[in-house]
Amino acid sequence: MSMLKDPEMKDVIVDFCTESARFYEEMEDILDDLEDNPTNNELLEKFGQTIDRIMGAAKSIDAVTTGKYCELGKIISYKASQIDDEDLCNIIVAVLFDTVDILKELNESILTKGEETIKFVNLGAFGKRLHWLADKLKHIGRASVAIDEGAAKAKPAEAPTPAAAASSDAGDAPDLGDDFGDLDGDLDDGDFGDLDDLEDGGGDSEFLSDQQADIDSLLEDLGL
Amino acid sequence: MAFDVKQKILIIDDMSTMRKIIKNMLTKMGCDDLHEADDGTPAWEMIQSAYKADAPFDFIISDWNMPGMTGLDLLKNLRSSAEFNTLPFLMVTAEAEQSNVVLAVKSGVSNFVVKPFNQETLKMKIEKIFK
Repeated sequence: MSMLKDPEMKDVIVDFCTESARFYEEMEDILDDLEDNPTNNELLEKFGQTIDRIMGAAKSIDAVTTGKYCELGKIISYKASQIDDEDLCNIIVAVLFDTVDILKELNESILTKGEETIKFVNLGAFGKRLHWLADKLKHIGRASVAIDEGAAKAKPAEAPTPAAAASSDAGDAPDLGDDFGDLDGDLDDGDFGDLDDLEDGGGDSEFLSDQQADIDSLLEDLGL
Repeated sequence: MAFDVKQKILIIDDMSTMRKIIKNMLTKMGCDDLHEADDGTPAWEMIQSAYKADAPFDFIISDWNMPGMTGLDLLKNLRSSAEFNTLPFLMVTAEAEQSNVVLAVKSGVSNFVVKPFNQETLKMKIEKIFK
């Protein structure tokens, strides 16, 4: 049984919907500010961090569609924070507004029906815009929480390396030992390639390909 | 030291939904000394206060992405202090990117779990830390 319909999870679901509604308002405020200044990368990152918080919780309560739309919004906003093309950013802000509208609809249906349903008008047109946008953003590497805040903004055509993002100020690397394993949280050299190679920016093109594959697979999963 | 359900555990996440989910999972595992914080900053204060009161926390479960002090910054604070540099710390995150994982490992995380996860996964991660 989906957690959304599990009576034992009712409190948690209501909590989630209440918290998410608050975050959606916060995100709309951020987008209102972005309308006046669409290339403001701090606001775009703030949007990405906010939607990321909902994403984790959504995935944890079987709100799969919500999680996927959050992931899409997160990737788009973080990538947008790396560009300074105002026209493109204006389009991105409009897309993010639509994304939040969809998320609010999903939230309402979870609360009232225990399921995720969307009645968003022009979902087909929205999907086309997302595919177009995904193509415009495909060379932008960063799609997640800032690690290296000094990384320079890129034009859409550039392909910045994620090498800077892999740098650390944590001092000498600890002995990883044998206790780390697979991708689901257990860490092992074999899962991410050689760690020295990662730090040196190894595997860049593979990393970028994975990011693009994420957007494309998300769009496919959402039927867009 | 093996995991003991009597251990004093601090759960840190700015989403109360996630704190509830993790708390429910730990309760089903038999844990009953569970505490919560909604950000790294109050969590850091709680950890220090508990230590001074001679009732220290035994285990931290923390989200990465929080608006004030992040889970990573909290981890760095702990690992740079003599009192807490071996305190077991499980990072919970929606982030599974290579760079984040490397950074968490280099900062001294005990283990790492990616949302969403079920109770069995959480139990396995915890047992691995304490084996």
